[in-house]
Amino acid sequence: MKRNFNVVNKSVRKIDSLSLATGKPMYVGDFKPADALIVKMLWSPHAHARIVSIDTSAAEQLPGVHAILHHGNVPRIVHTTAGQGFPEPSPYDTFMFDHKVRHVGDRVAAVAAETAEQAMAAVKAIKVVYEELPAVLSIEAALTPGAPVIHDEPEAHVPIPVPYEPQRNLAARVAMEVGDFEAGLKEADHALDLEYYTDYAQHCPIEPHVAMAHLAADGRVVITTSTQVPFHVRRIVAQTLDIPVRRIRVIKPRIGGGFGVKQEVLLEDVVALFALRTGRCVFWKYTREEEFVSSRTRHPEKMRVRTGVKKDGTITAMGLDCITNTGAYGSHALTVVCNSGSKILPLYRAANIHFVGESCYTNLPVGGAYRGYGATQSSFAVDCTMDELAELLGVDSLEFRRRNAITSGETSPVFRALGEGKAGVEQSIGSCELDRCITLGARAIGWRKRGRWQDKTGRFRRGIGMAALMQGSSIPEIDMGAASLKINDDGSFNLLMGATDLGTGSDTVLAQIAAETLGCDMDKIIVYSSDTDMTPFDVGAYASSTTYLSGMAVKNVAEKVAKQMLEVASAMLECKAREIRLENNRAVRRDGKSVGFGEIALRALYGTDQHQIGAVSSRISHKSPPPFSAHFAEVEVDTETGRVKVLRYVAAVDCGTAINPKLAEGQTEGGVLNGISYALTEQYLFSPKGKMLNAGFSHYKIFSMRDKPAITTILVPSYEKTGPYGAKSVSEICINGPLPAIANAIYNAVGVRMRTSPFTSEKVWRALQDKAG
Amino acid sequence: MTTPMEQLDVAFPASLPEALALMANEATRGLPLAGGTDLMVQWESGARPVPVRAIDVKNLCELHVLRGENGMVVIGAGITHAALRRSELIRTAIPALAEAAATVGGGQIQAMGTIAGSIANASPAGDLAPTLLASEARVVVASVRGERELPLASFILGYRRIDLAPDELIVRFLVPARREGERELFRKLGPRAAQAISKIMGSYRGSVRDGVVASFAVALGSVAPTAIRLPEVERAVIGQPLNEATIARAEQVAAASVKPISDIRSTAEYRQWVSGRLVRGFLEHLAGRDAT
Repeated sequence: MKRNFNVVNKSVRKIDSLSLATGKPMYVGDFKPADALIVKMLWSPHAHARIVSIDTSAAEQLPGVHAILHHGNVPRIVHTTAGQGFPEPSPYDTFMFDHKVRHVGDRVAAVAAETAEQAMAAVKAIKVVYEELPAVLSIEAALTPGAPVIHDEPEAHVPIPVPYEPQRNLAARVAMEVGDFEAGLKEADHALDLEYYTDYAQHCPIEPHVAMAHLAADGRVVITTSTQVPFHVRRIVAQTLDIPVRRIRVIKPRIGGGFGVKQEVLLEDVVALFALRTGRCVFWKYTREEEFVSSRTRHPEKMRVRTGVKKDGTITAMGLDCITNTGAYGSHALTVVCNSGSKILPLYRAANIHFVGESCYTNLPVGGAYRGYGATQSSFAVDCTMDELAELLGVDSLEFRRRNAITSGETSPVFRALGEGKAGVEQSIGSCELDRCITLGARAIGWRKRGRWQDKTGRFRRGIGMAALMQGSSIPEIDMGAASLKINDDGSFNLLMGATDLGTGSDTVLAQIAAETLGCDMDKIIVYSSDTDMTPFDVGAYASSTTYLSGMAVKNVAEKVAKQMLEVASAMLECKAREIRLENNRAVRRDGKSVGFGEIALRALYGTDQHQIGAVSSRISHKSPPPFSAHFAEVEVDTETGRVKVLRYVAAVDCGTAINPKLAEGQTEGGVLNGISYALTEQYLFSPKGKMLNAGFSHYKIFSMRDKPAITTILVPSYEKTGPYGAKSVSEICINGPLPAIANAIYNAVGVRMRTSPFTSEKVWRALQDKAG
Repeated sequence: MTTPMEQLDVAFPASLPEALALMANEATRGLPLAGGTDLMVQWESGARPVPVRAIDVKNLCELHVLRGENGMVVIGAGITHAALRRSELIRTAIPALAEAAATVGGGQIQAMGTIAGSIANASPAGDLAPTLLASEARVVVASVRGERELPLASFILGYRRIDLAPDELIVRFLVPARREGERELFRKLGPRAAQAISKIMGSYRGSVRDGVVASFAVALGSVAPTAIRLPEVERAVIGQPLNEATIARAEQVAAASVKPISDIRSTAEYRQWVSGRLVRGFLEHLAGRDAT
């Protein structure tokens, strides 16, 4: 077990930072040729309607218009837009274009024209006759018997054997029970039955969705797209357009933020089909409004937590009933709600566990993958409940969490019971420094001095709250990562990966792992990601998998290459391979005699017994080792206006070995700020007819640097034996803390329990009014 | 093909007389454009059509005066929020205005947006209007026909409407400086620190003599179609002892006298409540309790 690192666990500079900072052309939009056709979409103005007729004749005659796509002239192939492994656990309920629209902002028809203005003019000239249908605008309405059926098309189905009942708007269902839950409740000295609700939110990547397609000389379609999942894009576009995978190449350049929303195939089918029909390069970029309304969102979720606890603090029953609103399509419907259970229920020991997760269709914007992926929602419900249980018992909630939290060597029946669309994988916890995270975080925030809300006076009252968290690292026995590596004349290496850096810094992190393994400097590793023609398959950047899973593939391929280098070096140094170490870009014999990597490369490529030193490697995982974290927030509540201000925030996180500590801190701070913004301001506001009213940054507020409170990140090292150099994931867990930590802090300040997000001034004010009676 | 904004014909007059001459003639007249922080957003979103012509007034030196004279502060129409925020004169003579300017948008918006632009936009959520109303500011407009001076309260006609003839330009504001013994305060409640459009905000100026409210002017924004003074509240406190009873009554009168709407930023009920609490906070500030 190597722990003295040369490159890993060092905050080396992000390899693309200088090019990004100096504005070098790196994003999809930077590569748009001047003569590219521009796409504009006609979006549904209705929440639920049938398209009686579409007349594009006037639009087609307008200047600059090259092609128009709609349900009458494209293949009708049912699929899912969710960029997941195959066969996907999401329902096939989507057509490229359909004769029915299911939310305001659903696709109706697309235009490709010489300019954006010409495309817009044509969009406006398309005549559509709709037959409006009654719309379903809430979870409650969706599940009412006799509710309008949103997916009444006969093709709708799930490609794997899981419950799916579109005739009653049920997009997904999962259930598990351990022990005897009801008996566990009866056994308890105290029981709680609480309801929570989390609202819609959007990822708000600064670069919205953007994709471009052109035909290569050989007639293949080349798609350049801002995606987290280039290989899934290739497969799903092939499926949707009914063309072979071999005719498609997908290139992912730099990405301006994804957060899960680009784990979705939303634009690529349209630009690809336009390129095939027109022979031209075709470019489409979402506006911010389209990003809000017609991309993907965090699933709103209703949660009911039923728990029982004995006087000695033993949890006898933990029950979680979740219903998500997946909107008009079931993208990630099953797996997000599965994760609401699987990423939080193992955290606390309970003999009797009950979980039901459901997801329902509505005529509202579509849910999808969003950093945290169901755990963000359920961490709020479960952790706030833990806070209330501790209060019932009259014990420090920190100690109560500590007493009941899972630890190293333990397992949870939930791991096996809940997978993603199938049974999960049994695992016991390897590395776990949650206890130390709690200790260090509590010290940093000043937990002991927080006092009780009953003793606080004055208009502005301060409170401290905490939350304990876990997530996973990759999807065990489903995800796969791969990399290839070859040596060049000068002893540098090409590292080709399907893993997709979204701005997260994974190219840097993975290059560090390669350099550590090869014994070379960072600047000898030339990283290329991702291109379906060039790089080996990788499922993509999601499920907190890149560092852990793709990292293992990189370590493995580097080990293979190192072995080949040792063989060449042993011939050069006239000794056995095992007598040679690779370090500082050289192969060093025990007595100190050495040859440089460049010399090894020259001999292999040009000298004796010529061959390419190189390898391809892929890895899957049989575990999903959870990172752990303890979050602490100090807030100030203005009792007059209800305004909540986060004064300080502490996130102590155990992500195993931080391959790049600065990037791990950056992930944590970014996720925390995103989470604070979600907790305090972010929400979708709808008209009575289901149209989003605040689809823009004027009225949908995300926190900026000026809103940022002091955030302290404490990296608490552990060593995950199954991960590359002891690493686990860090990217998602950090967004799950602010909702519960802030809610608990508000309670500690003013004695009101916030169970519905976001905690706007007005909502907190109303809670204070209600409390005052 | 160019966008309507790219087709906009912008004139750059070198002096105020030249600008007024352009405004005087229907063929050369254009929409006055300074920082563009409201207009460009409205053009882009389609909330306001892009005009055929605009007159760039941002660099007219006549609009950049900022001086105190005879207890009055003269603020040129082209003075930016950043300049208001930084000006020692403003911070001493009208501190609430410096405060208000510092809360407008973000740094870039403050660097470009101007006082006249903010008032001409006549949004009920404009940040500067309440302070200017509470300090009884006057506005001076000019045309080739001459100058016209009127109270700001009569210049703002209604929701996004001002009393400006097609040939006129706003040239300056005359704002009474705080007198000896007068206190004032600006407060704003929005969803986050930076670049938030006000949920509700307000400003007051007042004085106390021998424990009795000698003067009190208060104005709120985002509670009516325009920023408004609250005369009922003012009447309820002037001449009264500055004690809890007076403050409580003022709070009640304030909540009852505003008729806000519910919109996507807030509900009417919450705005009424906050209006009352703002007025209470102002009176407590006047009493010397600087809890805010």
